[in-house]
Amino acid sequence: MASTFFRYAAPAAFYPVARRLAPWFGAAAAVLAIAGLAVGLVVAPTDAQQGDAYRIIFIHVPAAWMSMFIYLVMAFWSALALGYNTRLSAMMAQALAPTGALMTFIALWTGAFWGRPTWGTYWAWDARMTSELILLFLYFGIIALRNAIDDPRRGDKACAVLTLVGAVNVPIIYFSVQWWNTLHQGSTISMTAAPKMASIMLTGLLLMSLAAWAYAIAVALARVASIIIERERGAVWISHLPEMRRLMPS
Amino acid sequence: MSAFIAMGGYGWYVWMAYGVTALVVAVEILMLRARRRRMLIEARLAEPEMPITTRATLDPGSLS
Repeated sequence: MASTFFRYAAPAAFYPVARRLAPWFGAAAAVLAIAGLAVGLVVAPTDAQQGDAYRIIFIHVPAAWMSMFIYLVMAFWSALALGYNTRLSAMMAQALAPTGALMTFIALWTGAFWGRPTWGTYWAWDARMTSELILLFLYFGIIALRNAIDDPRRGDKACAVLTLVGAVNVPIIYFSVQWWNTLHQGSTISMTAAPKMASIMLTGLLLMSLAAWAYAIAVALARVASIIIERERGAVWISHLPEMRRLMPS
Repeated sequence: MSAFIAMGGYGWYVWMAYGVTALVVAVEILMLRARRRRMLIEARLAEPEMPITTRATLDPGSLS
């Protein structure tokens, strides 16, 4: 079992796995998103209090969840990269950062366009929004730090340290609505209490969340494949890849 | 159909949220494709056994 796992820790062994799995997760994301959009925009009824403005929830909440979750996964890979000095885990962390930044941007953007009709403002310096904005800057900082360091192995270590230090922000975002008196509402969905929303709305939210998961996995796998090619170039196994021959006639 | 676009008067907010999300997701997918292509070309250039004469034709700058 352990030996099987570690065999795929080699970039050369993981590359074909990533390439093979990515389209399947991409297709799953597309199907789930179409179903989720149909439920969220068409099937689910207009909200009694918020009218149709509430429909932004179907992208806002999944994106906000993913923005934090991707960071935690990145921190996990970073810890592995620092502790075991494994290249692939650092590459996984590197592959997740742009998608984490994307999810954070979507959460902030859709939040602004939900806040305006419901609270009367696009933006407020409230604890939830400010800590989520800091998360976006953390993602940007990690990407910029990576690009600023020429030696990839040194870049791995620096980014892993920054990622782990920045992880302190994730519980701050998550608990901000409880710790401070914020404009942002508390969580609508809880593991311990009955959901405070209609089941059809919950279905739409679940579909869109699964779509966001599948999308993030697909994109991270596709990106890690590119990162592997970038960092392993010159290796014999790379020149033997069929896509290298297909690139152009030699 | 026009009622769907109007979103009960919230059309601007709903479609700005959904539209920009669709746009940034599309941009990420396109950037990912471009990156893969660029990395494959660079890996091709890094191949040690490559004859020097073909390098000019594989210059990433000459490809769109």
